[in-house]
Amino acid sequence: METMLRKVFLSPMMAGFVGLVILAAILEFCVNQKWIPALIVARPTETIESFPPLFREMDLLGAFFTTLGMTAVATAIALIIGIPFGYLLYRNHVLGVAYEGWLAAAFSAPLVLLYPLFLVLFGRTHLTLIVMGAIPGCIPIIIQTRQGLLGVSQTLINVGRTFNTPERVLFWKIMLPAAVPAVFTGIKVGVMYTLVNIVAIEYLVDFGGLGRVVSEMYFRFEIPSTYASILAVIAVSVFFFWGFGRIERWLRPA
Amino acid sequence: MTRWKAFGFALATSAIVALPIAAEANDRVRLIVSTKMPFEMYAPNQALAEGYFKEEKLDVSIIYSDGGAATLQTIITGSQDATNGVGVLSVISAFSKGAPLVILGSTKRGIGDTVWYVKADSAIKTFKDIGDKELVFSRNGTTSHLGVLDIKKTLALDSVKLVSVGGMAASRTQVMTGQVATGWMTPPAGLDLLRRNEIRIIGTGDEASGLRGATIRVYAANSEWVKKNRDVATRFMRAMWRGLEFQYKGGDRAFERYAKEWGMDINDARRGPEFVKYDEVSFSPIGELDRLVQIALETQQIREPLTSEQKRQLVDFVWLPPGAQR
Repeated sequence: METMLRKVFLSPMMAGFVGLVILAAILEFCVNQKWIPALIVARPTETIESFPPLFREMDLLGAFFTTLGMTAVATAIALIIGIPFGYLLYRNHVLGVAYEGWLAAAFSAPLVLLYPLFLVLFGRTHLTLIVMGAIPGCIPIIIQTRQGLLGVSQTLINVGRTFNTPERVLFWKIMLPAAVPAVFTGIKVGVMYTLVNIVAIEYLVDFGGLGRVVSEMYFRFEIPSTYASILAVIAVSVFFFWGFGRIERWLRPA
Repeated sequence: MTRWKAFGFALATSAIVALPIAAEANDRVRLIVSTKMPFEMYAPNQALAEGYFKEEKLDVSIIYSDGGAATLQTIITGSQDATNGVGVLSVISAFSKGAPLVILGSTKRGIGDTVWYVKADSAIKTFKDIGDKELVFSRNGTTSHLGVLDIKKTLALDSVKLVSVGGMAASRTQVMTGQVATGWMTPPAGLDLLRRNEIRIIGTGDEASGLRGATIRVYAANSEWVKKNRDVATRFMRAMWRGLEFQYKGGDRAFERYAKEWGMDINDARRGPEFVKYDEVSFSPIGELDRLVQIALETQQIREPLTSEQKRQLVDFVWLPPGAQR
C-alpha cells in the first residue's frame, strides 16, 4: 500500500500537478496583494468559478468539440499531405534539397495574416479554418519526416538488406519505426501550429469554437471567463499531445 | 582634493545646464487612438501638427489601436494615459468591473456616420430588402454592433442575420467577394468605392432611432492618471478641442492633411463633415447615458445597472469649451 502511494505521489503527473497548484497559489496571492491587477490577470479561483456560467451561457462544451473536431480534421489532412510528401523529399535528393529551404521559410511565415484571402477562397465557413489550420500543420510534418528518414542508421538498413528484405518491408519494418521519434516530433509541432492557427482565426473573424468564446469574453471584459476559455484551448492541446504520445508509444514500444 | 573640486564643478555645471531644460520640459501625455480614419478622431493629429499641444506645454505621443478592449487594456495598465474615440459600451463594461477609467468627454453622438452598403449590382435597396441575408457589424460592443441591434429592432427586421465581420477593410473584402450581403463603413473612409459606382449605400445609422443623440464614442483616461495630473488633463482636452475645431474649420489645409494621412482623395475628405456633423462631436453632453447603460445590460456587457454614484464617477469633464452644457 505504502509503495503504491509512494508511486502515485512521486509520479511525474503528480509532480506536474503539484507544480501547477503551487503556481496558481502564487498567482492568487500576487493578485490578492494587488501586485498584479485583477483586470489583467484573473485569480485562479475566479477562473475556475467562471466555468459553470461559460458552459451554460456560451456552450463551452460545444465550442470545445468544434475546435477539437476542426483541429482533428486539419491534422488528419496535414498528416495525409505531410508524411507522403516528406517521404518523397527523402527519396528524391534533388527535390529534398530544393524544397527544404522553402518549407523552412514557409514555416516561419505568419500565414494567419492571410485570413482575408482564405475567407474569399473558402467563405466564412469551417472549411476556411480547417484549411488554414492544415497548411502550417503539414510543414513541420514534411520536414521532420524527411529528417527522420535521413537519420535512420545505415547499419539497420544494411542488416535488413542482408536478409534480402524487400524495399516495402524494409520501409515498414525498419525505416519507419526508426524514424518514428522524429516524425512524431513533427506531428506534435504540427498539431500545435494547427490549433494555434484555428483558434487565432476563430478569434479574428468571431466564428467557430473556442477562439470565438475567448474573443466574446475578452470584448466583454469578463477576464476570469477569458482565462477559463483559454484553459479550454489548452485542454484541446493537451488532448492531442497526450493522444499522439500514446500512438507514438504504440508504434515504437520502449 | 583636486578630484573632489573637479566633481563639484561638474555637478554645478550640470545643474546650471539642466535647470532651464527642466523648467522648459513639457508634460508628457501618451494618447492611444482607438481606431484609424474616423473623421472627428483626427483631432489630436491636427492639434499636434498645428502646435496646439506645444502651446499648452504638452508633449503628446499618438499611437493607434484596434478597437475597444485592446485600447482600454493599455489605459487600465497605465501604459497609455488617455484614449480618443473608444466605444462607450467598452468603457461602461470595463468600468463596471472595477477598471480605473473615467470619461473625459463625448467624441461622437449618434451613429449617422456609420453607413451600410451593398455591391452596386445587388438587389437590396434598403435595410428592409435584406430579408434573411446578412447585416454586418465589426465586433461585439462596437458602434456598428449597437447600430445593427437598434436597426433590427426599429425596422422589425426579424429574419435578418447579424454577422460580425471585423473592421472596415475586412468588411469590404467580404462584401465585394459575395461572402456577405452587406458591408459597413464610416465615411469619408470608403467613399472611393462609391465614387467609382462599385457600391451603393442602403442606409445609415440615422435609422437607428433608439440611438439618436446617444454618445457612442468617448474620450477616456486612466482615473488615477487624471487624479494625479488634473492640470495636464485639462490642458490636453483644451488642445484637443482646438484640434477638433481645426479639423472642421481649418479648410483645405485640414482636409489635405487628413486625406494625405489615410491615402484618401481630398474630395472624399471634404465630405467628412457631411457624415460626421459638427454639432455631434462636442465634448458634452454624454448623450443618453441611462439608455447606454440599459443597452450594455441587454448585450451582457455589464451584469448589473450602474448606480447613480457610479455614473457620477464615470464622467469627469476636466475641461469644456465656454458655454458648453455639463
